Amino acid sequence: MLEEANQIDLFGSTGNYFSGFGVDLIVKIVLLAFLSLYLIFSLIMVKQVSVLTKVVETPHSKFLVKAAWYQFIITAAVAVFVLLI
Amino acid sequence: MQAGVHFESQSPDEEVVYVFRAHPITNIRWIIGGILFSLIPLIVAIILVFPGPYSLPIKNASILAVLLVWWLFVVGFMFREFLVWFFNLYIITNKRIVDIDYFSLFSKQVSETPLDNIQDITHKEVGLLQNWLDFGNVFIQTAGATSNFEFHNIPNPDGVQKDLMDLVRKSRRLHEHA
Repeated sequence: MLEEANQIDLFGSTGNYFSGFGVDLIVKIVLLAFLSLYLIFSLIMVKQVSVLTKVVETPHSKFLVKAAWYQFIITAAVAVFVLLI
Repeated sequence: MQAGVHFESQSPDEEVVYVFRAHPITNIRWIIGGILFSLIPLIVAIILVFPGPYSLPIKNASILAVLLVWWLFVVGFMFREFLVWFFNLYIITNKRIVDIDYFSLFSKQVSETPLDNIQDITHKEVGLLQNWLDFGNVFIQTAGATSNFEFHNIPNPDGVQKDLMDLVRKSRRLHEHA
Protein backbone atom coordinates (compact mmCIF):
# COMPACT_ATOMS: atom_id res chain seq x y z
CA MET A 1 0.00 0.00 0.00
CA LEU A 2 2.75 2.36 1.00
CA GLU A 3 4.74 1.33 -2.04
CA GLU A 4 1.75 2.13 -4.27
CA ALA A 5 1.37 5.51 -2.69
CA ASN A 6 5.01 6.18 -3.28
CA GLN A 7 4.73 5.17 -6.93
CA ILE A 8 1.96 7.65 -7.67
CA ASP A 9 3.78 10.36 -5.77
CA LEU A 10 4.71 12.79 -8.54
CA PHE A 11 7.38 14.51 -6.57
CA GLY A 12 9.41 11.72 -5.09
CA SER A 13 9.30 8.44 -3.32
CA THR A 14 9.26 9.34 0.34
CA GLY A 15 5.51 9.77 0.68
CA ASN A 16 5.98 13.50 1.21
CA TYR A 17 4.41 15.50 -1.62
CA PHE A 18 7.10 18.12 -1.50
CA SER A 19 10.03 15.73 -1.78
CA GLY A 20 12.01 15.81 -4.99
CA PHE A 21 10.33 19.03 -5.98
CA GLY A 22 13.49 21.05 -5.67
CA VAL A 23 12.09 23.18 -2.89
CA ASP A 24 15.56 24.48 -2.10
CA LEU A 25 16.00 25.70 -5.66
CA ILE A 26 12.61 27.44 -5.66
CA VAL A 27 13.38 29.05 -2.31
CA LYS A 28 16.73 30.22 -3.65
CA ILE A 29 15.23 31.75 -6.82
CA VAL A 30 12.40 33.50 -4.95
CA LEU A 31 14.79 34.85 -2.30
CA LEU A 32 17.24 36.09 -4.90
CA ALA A 33 14.42 37.85 -6.78
CA PHE A 34 13.30 39.57 -3.58
CA LEU A 35 16.85 40.40 -2.55
CA SER A 36 17.77 41.95 -5.90
CA LEU A 37 14.74 44.26 -5.62
CA TYR A 38 15.57 44.96 -2.00
CA LEU A 39 19.18 45.79 -2.89
CA ILE A 40 17.94 48.46 -5.29
CA PHE A 41 15.54 49.75 -2.65
CA SER A 42 18.35 49.86 -0.05
CA LEU A 43 20.49 51.91 -2.40
CA ILE A 44 17.60 54.33 -2.99
CA MET A 45 17.21 54.47 0.79
CA VAL A 46 20.89 55.45 1.23
CA LYS A 47 20.42 58.30 -1.23
CA GLN A 48 17.14 59.36 0.37
CA VAL A 49 18.60 59.36 3.90
CA SER A 50 21.45 61.58 2.76
CA VAL A 51 18.86 63.92 1.19
CA LEU A 52 16.87 63.94 4.44
CA THR A 53 19.95 64.75 6.48
CA LYS A 54 20.54 67.75 4.24
CA VAL A 55 17.00 69.04 4.80
CA VAL A 56 17.60 68.90 8.55
CA GLU A 57 21.12 68.42 9.80
CA THR A 58 21.28 66.94 13.29
CA PRO A 59 24.19 65.55 15.32
CA HIS A 60 22.95 62.05 14.36
CA SER A 61 22.86 62.66 10.61
CA LYS A 62 26.11 60.84 9.83
CA PHE A 63 25.07 57.86 11.89
CA LEU A 64 21.77 57.56 9.99
CA VAL A 65 23.52 57.61 6.63
CA LYS A 66 25.92 54.98 7.96
CA ALA A 67 22.96 52.87 9.12
CA ALA A 68 21.44 53.05 5.63
CA TRP A 69 24.77 51.90 4.17
CA TYR A 70 24.93 49.05 6.69
CA GLN A 71 21.47 47.98 5.58
CA PHE A 72 22.66 47.89 1.97
CA ILE A 73 25.84 45.94 2.88
CA ILE A 74 23.94 43.42 5.01
CA THR A 75 21.41 42.93 2.19
CA ALA A 76 24.27 42.27 -0.22
CA ALA A 77 25.85 39.84 2.26
CA VAL A 78 22.57 37.93 2.64
CA ALA A 79 22.25 37.81 -1.16
CA VAL A 80 25.73 36.27 -1.40
CA PHE A 81 24.80 33.77 1.30
CA VAL A 82 21.64 32.77 -0.60
CA LEU A 83 23.70 32.38 -3.78
CA LEU A 84 26.14 30.09 -2.01
CA ILE A 85 23.66 27.72 -0.35
CA MET B 1 19.01 76.08 22.33
CA GLN B 2 19.42 73.10 20.04
CA ALA B 3 23.11 72.66 19.35
CA GLY B 4 24.09 71.16 16.04
CA VAL B 5 20.69 71.39 14.35
CA HIS B 6 20.48 73.22 11.05
CA PHE B 7 17.77 73.13 8.45
CA GLU B 8 17.71 73.77 4.73
CA SER B 9 16.07 77.20 4.61
CA GLN B 10 17.74 78.59 7.73
CA SER B 11 19.08 82.09 7.27
CA PRO B 12 22.57 82.97 8.64
CA ASP B 13 21.22 85.22 11.40
CA GLU B 14 18.56 82.74 12.46
CA GLU B 15 18.98 80.63 15.60
CA VAL B 16 17.25 77.33 16.20
CA VAL B 17 15.71 77.61 19.65
CA TYR B 18 13.73 74.35 19.89
CA VAL B 19 13.45 71.19 17.86
CA PHE B 20 10.62 68.80 18.65
CA ARG B 21 9.45 65.52 17.32
CA ALA B 22 6.65 63.27 18.48
CA HIS B 23 7.18 61.55 21.84
CA PRO B 24 9.15 58.28 21.44
CA ILE B 25 6.25 56.32 22.91
CA THR B 26 4.28 57.05 19.70
CA ASN B 27 6.60 54.54 18.00
CA ILE B 28 5.40 51.68 20.18
CA ARG B 29 2.94 50.39 17.54
CA TRP B 30 5.55 49.68 14.87
CA ILE B 31 8.08 48.45 17.44
CA ILE B 32 5.64 45.82 18.75
CA GLY B 33 4.58 45.04 15.17
CA GLY B 34 8.21 44.56 14.17
CA ILE B 35 8.92 42.26 17.12
CA LEU B 36 5.82 40.16 16.37
CA PHE B 37 6.70 39.95 12.68
CA SER B 38 10.21 38.83 13.66
CA LEU B 39 8.80 35.96 15.70
CA ILE B 40 6.30 34.66 13.10
CA PRO B 41 8.86 32.95 10.81
CA LEU B 42 10.45 31.21 13.81
CA ILE B 43 7.14 29.46 14.54
CA VAL B 44 6.66 28.61 10.85
CA ALA B 45 10.25 27.32 10.64
CA ILE B 46 9.70 25.06 13.64
CA ILE B 47 6.56 23.60 12.00
CA LEU B 48 8.37 23.07 8.72
CA VAL B 49 11.52 21.53 10.20
CA PHE B 50 9.99 19.02 12.61
CA PRO B 51 8.73 15.79 11.00
CA GLY B 52 5.01 15.85 10.35
CA PRO B 53 2.43 16.40 7.61
CA TYR B 54 3.63 19.93 6.93
CA SER B 55 7.35 19.25 7.06
CA LEU B 56 9.28 20.28 3.99
CA PRO B 57 12.30 18.37 2.74
CA ILE B 58 14.28 21.56 2.82
CA LYS B 59 17.89 22.19 3.79
CA ASN B 60 18.49 23.96 7.09
CA ALA B 61 20.56 26.52 5.17
CA SER B 62 17.49 27.37 3.05
CA ILE B 63 15.39 27.87 6.17
CA LEU B 64 18.12 30.09 7.60
CA ALA B 65 18.19 32.08 4.34
CA VAL B 66 14.40 32.59 4.45
CA LEU B 67 14.66 33.72 8.09
CA LEU B 68 17.50 36.12 7.28
CA VAL B 69 15.62 37.67 4.36
CA TRP B 70 12.44 38.00 6.43
CA TRP B 71 14.33 39.71 9.26
CA LEU B 72 16.06 41.93 6.76
CA PHE B 73 12.66 43.13 5.53
CA VAL B 74 11.41 43.61 9.08
CA VAL B 75 14.51 45.62 10.04
CA GLY B 76 14.13 47.64 6.82
CA PHE B 77 10.51 48.38 7.67
CA MET B 78 11.47 49.42 11.21
CA PHE B 79 14.31 51.61 9.96
CA ARG B 80 11.93 53.32 7.52
CA GLU B 81 9.39 53.95 10.30
CA PHE B 82 12.14 55.30 12.54
CA LEU B 83 13.32 57.70 9.82
CA VAL B 84 9.81 59.00 9.22
CA TRP B 85 9.47 59.65 12.97
CA PHE B 86 12.96 61.14 13.26
CA PHE B 87 12.55 63.61 10.41
CA ASN B 88 9.02 64.72 11.27
CA LEU B 89 10.16 67.84 13.02
CA TYR B 90 8.78 70.99 14.50
CA ILE B 91 11.41 73.70 14.62
CA ILE B 92 11.14 76.96 16.49
CA THR B 93 13.72 79.61 15.70
CA ASN B 94 14.06 83.17 16.95
CA LYS B 95 12.18 84.28 13.82
CA ARG B 96 9.63 81.65 12.83
CA ILE B 97 8.21 78.20 13.33
CA VAL B 98 8.81 75.47 10.77
CA ASP B 99 6.78 72.29 10.51
CA ILE B 100 8.41 69.51 8.48
CA ASP B 101 5.99 66.66 7.82
CA TYR B 102 7.08 63.44 6.19
CA PHE B 103 4.18 61.23 5.14
CA SER B 104 6.60 58.63 3.83
CA LEU B 105 10.31 58.79 3.05
CA PHE B 106 9.60 60.30 -0.34
CA SER B 107 6.86 62.83 0.36
CA LYS B 108 7.15 65.82 2.60
CA GLN B 109 5.41 69.06 3.38
CA VAL B 110 7.18 72.04 4.91
CA SER B 111 5.13 74.85 6.41
CA GLU B 112 6.43 77.91 8.17
CA THR B 113 5.21 81.16 9.61
CA PRO B 114 6.93 84.14 11.27
CA LEU B 115 6.57 84.35 15.04
CA ASP B 116 4.75 87.68 14.62
CA ASN B 117 1.96 85.90 12.78
CA ILE B 118 1.13 83.72 15.76
CA GLN B 119 -2.08 84.80 17.44
CA ASP B 120 -3.09 82.07 19.77
CA ILE B 121 -1.52 78.90 21.16
CA THR B 122 -3.40 76.10 22.87
CA HIS B 123 -2.32 72.66 23.97
CA LYS B 124 -4.22 69.48 24.54
CA GLU B 125 -3.38 66.29 26.40
CA VAL B 126 -6.01 63.62 25.95
CA GLY B 127 -6.09 60.21 27.59
CA LEU B 128 -4.22 58.35 30.25
CA LEU B 129 -1.00 57.80 28.32
CA GLN B 130 -0.64 61.44 27.26
CA ASN B 131 -1.26 62.65 30.82
CA TRP B 132 1.09 60.14 32.42
CA LEU B 133 3.91 60.65 29.96
CA ASP B 134 3.27 64.37 29.51
CA PHE B 135 2.88 64.65 25.77
CA GLY B 136 0.17 66.07 23.57
CA ASN B 137 -0.76 68.40 20.76
CA VAL B 138 -0.04 72.10 20.48
CA PHE B 139 -2.30 74.14 18.19
CA ILE B 140 -0.97 77.39 16.84
CA GLN B 141 -3.41 79.80 15.30
CA THR B 142 -1.87 82.23 12.85
CA ALA B 143 -3.01 85.50 11.37
CA GLY B 144 -4.12 86.01 7.80
CA ALA B 145 -4.44 83.39 5.12
CA THR B 146 -1.65 81.16 6.43
CA SER B 147 -2.80 77.80 7.67
CA ASN B 148 -2.75 76.97 11.34
CA PHE B 149 -0.05 74.78 12.81
CA GLU B 150 -0.39 71.61 14.81
CA PHE B 151 2.47 70.01 16.67
CA HIS B 152 1.37 66.44 17.23
CA ASN B 153 2.28 64.33 20.25
CA ILE B 154 5.17 66.49 21.37
CA PRO B 155 6.64 66.10 24.86
CA ASN B 156 5.86 68.77 27.45
CA PRO B 157 3.22 70.69 25.43
CA ASP B 158 2.55 73.00 28.38
CA GLY B 159 6.19 74.14 28.50
CA VAL B 160 6.30 74.50 24.73
CA GLN B 161 3.21 76.70 24.79
CA LYS B 162 4.73 78.98 27.44
CA ASP B 163 8.15 79.20 25.79
CA LEU B 164 6.67 79.81 22.35
CA MET B 165 4.43 82.55 23.74
CA ASP B 166 7.51 84.18 25.35
CA LEU B 167 9.33 84.06 22.02
CA VAL B 168 6.35 85.61 20.24
CA ARG B 169 6.23 88.44 22.81
CA LYS B 170 9.98 89.03 22.48
CA SER B 171 9.73 89.09 18.71
CA ARG B 172 6.85 91.58 18.79
CA ARG B 173 8.74 93.82 21.22
CA LEU B 174 11.78 93.77 18.94
CA HIS B 175 9.67 94.74 15.94
CA GLU B 176 7.88 97.48 17.84
CA HIS B 177 11.19 99.05 18.92
CA ALA B 178 12.73 98.71 15.47
